[in-house]
Amino acid sequence: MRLLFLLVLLSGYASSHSLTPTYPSLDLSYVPGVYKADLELFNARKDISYYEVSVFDADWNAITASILPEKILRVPYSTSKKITVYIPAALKGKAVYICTKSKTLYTPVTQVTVILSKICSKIK
Amino acid sequence: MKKLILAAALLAPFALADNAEIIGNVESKCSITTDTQGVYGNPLASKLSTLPADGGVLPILRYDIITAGSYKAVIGYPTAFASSPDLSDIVTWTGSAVVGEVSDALMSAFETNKVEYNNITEFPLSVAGTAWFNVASSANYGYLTAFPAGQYVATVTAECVAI
Repeated sequence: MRLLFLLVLLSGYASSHSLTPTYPSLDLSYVPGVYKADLELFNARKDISYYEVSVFDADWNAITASILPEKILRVPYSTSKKITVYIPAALKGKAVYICTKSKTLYTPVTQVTVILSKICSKIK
Repeated sequence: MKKLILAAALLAPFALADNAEIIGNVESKCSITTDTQGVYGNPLASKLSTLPADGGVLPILRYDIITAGSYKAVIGYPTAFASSPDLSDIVTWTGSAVVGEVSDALMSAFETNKVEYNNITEFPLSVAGTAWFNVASSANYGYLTAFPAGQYVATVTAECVAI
């Protein structure tokens, strides 16, 4: 256990991405016939500054949704961003997953693997 | 007037004394941490590999799981270069994702119950805690054809999907 704790402390490149809540609910928005879900994205990845928000059905087909503040968000290192996803009432039953995916802009070195992180919450 | 000031001075400490509360919420979530960015070694002119035996560095992903059974990890090794010089021959990709270090011995179930298809490995995150996953990736060019000189970048996908 101590070794694991040391590993966490010493992992110099460590950087993470998280999304809450795990199970967001769709509530009526101020616009009639439109539902909304509120989420929060936290960026602790030094190498990533942008994330894309998408909505999918149970078969991972993209669903039309409006996202505030933007579909592609700038989230500086060690900050969080609140996201509101608006979904038309007609698609309320179809929308299942709300996902955030890291966007890679550049790679500074050769012969590397870049890690694309994606976290999906499931609508209640 | 002096009595009033004295009374105020005596009572002031009591008025300032208060309990400071620290409030925190722990909620179900999954965090993906890139512990180590992988590097391709070039053991043969026709091969790029992240295996340490080939001179590479394995990409290591850390998953922090707050609530057991709420998420699955979906990890994919690369099947194409995100950027590379022009390649005229076929690149054959192989790879794997395995559980590395774990914070709880019960997490050995992640490896036992993993599901593999195409370049994807799914691990049910059925135990709360922290787990590290090692991803291996290897690319072979043509039939022992040398990779052209240049920059090669490939993408490992690390997903955490609520179930």
